[in-house]
Amino acid sequence: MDIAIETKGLTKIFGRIIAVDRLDLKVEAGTIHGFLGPNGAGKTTTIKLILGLLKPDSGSIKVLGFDGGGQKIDVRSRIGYMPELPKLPTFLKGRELLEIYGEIYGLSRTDKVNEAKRLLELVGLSDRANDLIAHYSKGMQQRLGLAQALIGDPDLVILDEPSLGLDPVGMVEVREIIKKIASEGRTVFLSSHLLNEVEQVCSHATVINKGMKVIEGSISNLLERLSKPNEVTVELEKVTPEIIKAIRSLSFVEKVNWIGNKAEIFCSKAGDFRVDISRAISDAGGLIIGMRVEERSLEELFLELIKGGS
Amino acid sequence: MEKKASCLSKFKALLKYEILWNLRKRKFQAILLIVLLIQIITFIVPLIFSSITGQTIQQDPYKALSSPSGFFMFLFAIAIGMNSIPEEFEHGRAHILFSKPVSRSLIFLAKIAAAIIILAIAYVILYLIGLGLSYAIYGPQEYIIFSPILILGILISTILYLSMVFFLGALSKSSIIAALGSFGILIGLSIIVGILGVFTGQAWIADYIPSGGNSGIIVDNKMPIQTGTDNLGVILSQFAINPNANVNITYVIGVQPGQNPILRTESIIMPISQIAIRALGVASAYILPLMLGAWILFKRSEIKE
Repeated sequence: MDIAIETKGLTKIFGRIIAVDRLDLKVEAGTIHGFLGPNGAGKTTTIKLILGLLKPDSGSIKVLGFDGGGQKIDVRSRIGYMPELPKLPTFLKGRELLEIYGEIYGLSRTDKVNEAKRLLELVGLSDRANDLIAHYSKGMQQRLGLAQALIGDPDLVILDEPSLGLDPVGMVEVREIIKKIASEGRTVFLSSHLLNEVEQVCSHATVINKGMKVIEGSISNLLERLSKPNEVTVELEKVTPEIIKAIRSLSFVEKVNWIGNKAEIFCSKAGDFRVDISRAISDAGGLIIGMRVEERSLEELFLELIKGGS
Repeated sequence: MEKKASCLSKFKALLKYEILWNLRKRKFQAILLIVLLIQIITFIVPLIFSSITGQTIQQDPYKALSSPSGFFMFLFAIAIGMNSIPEEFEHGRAHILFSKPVSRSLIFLAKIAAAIIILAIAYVILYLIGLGLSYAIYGPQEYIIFSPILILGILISTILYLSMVFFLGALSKSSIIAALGSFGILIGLSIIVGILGVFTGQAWIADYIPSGGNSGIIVDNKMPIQTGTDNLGVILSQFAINPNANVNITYVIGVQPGQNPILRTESIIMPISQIAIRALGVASAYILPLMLGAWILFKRSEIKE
C-alpha cells in the first residue's frame, strides 16, 4: 500500500507550547483519512507542517514519497489544500480565482476556463461565477475554498475542517463532494472535530490530542472496538452475597451498581465480557433473567480518549 | 491536462492577481482620485487667481515636466504597499497562496512588478492631465520627449517609499504598522533634518535621506529644483535635457541671532549630473537593502495564525 503522508516524530513548538508532539502519522494513498481531535489539539499545525507553511522543530515529513513535504514546489503541485474557514481574496470573482490558480498549476487558457467551470458546477456556484467573492456568503466561500483545492487535479487533497460554519444542508453537500473526490482515486486527508463527519466520510482516522497521537486505524476497526460492550446490565432472579462477590472478583470489572435485582457492571477495558459474567453468576448459583450491553457512542469513546490523553 | 507550469505563466497569473487586487482596492482608488483632483486644482487655482486679479499667467514651457510632490508619491506607496504583504497574513490568504506550487520569491517579485506597473499607469495618467492643462494654461510645452524620463524618476522616488513600506510590512505582518511606521519615519526624518540644517548647519544631510533635499535653481533656465530623492523625476529629466547644466543650491547653515532671527544660507554651484548621480545612488542605497530585507523576511515567514 502506497503512503500519501508519513510523519515520524514530528514536533512543533511555539514558545512554551508544544503544538505537535512527536507525531507519527501514516495516511494510506487512496483513502479518506480523518484527522480527529478537539479544538487546539494540533490538527491545523500538523497540516501546516505537512504543507510546508511551518517548519518543524524536529521529526520528518514525507508527502507523496518526497521528503520535506510541501516545502517542495513539485510536491505542492500535487496537493490541494483548503484551510479552516478559507480566507479567499475577496477582490476577485469566483471564476477569476479558479482561473488564476489554474494558471499557476500550468493549465492552458482553454483548460483553466473549462476547469473553473467544472469545479464551480461541482460545488454549486455556477450561477455566481462572475460575482466578487466579497459578495459570497460564508457557506459559498467554503464551497469555493473546496473548489480551489481541486484545481490542477491533485493526488492529495487536504481539507481542514471542511464543514465548519456550514448549515446542515451545506454539510451534507460538502460531504458528498468529498466522497466524490475520493471516488476519483485521490487521497483525502480531512481534519475535523466532528466525530459523525469522520464516521460518515472517512475510511481511516487518527485521533490526536495536545499534539500527540491517541489512536489510529480504520474506521471499521474503531467502530468494532466501540461496539464491544463496556457496560453490561444483568437482571437476576435474586441477588446473593456469593453472586456479588463473584462479579466483583472479575478482573475487568471496575464498578457495580445494584438496583434491586439488577446489576450495572462497568468494565475497565474494551471487550465482550458477557460469557465471563454469565459463567461467574452461574458458578455462584445465580440465575440470569436478562442481560443487556450498553454500546458506547463514538462521541463517548472520543471523549474518553481525549480524557485519557490529557 | 498539462500540469507543469512555466515560471512565466505562474508570474503572469500572480501579476494578474496583484493588479486586480490593487485596482479594486478602495484605498488606491480614493488616493488616485484625490491626487488627480489636487493635480487639477494646482493648475486651476492660478487661472482663477489671474482672472480675479487681472494678471496674465506667465508662460512656462517646463510646467509639464514638474513632478507631483513627494507626499503624493508617499501616499501612492502607502496605498499599494501597506496591504501587499501584511494583508496576505492578516486576512489569512497566505494559507492558500503559499500552498500553491509557486515560490515565495516569485510571489514577492509579482507584488513589486504589479506595484510598479500600477504606479506607472497612475503617473502616466497624471502626467497626461498635467500636460493638457499645462498647454491650456501655461502655453506650449518644451522637451515633452523627455517625459518618460520624468515618469521613470518619479517611479524610482516612489519605489523608495514602497520599499520602506514593504520592509515594515514583511517585518511586522501588520498593514497599520507598515503604514504608520513609514509615515513616522518620513515625518521623523524631515524634522530631524530640518533641525540639523537650522541649528548645526548640516543641511547637506537632506540630500542623503528620502526627502525633497535642498532647494536650488538651474542656472541656465532659472527653473527651481530640489536636490533630494523625492525630486528624481525633475532632476533626471532636466539632466537629460541639458547634461551640462549647473544648479545653484542654497543650503541653510544656521540662524542669525538677533531681535528678528533670520536663516543663514550658503550657495553652492553644482553640476546637475552630480546631483542626478547622487540622488540615484542615494535612492538605490535605500531601495536595495530594504527590498532585500523585505524579500528575506517574506520568504522565511511562517503561517502561524
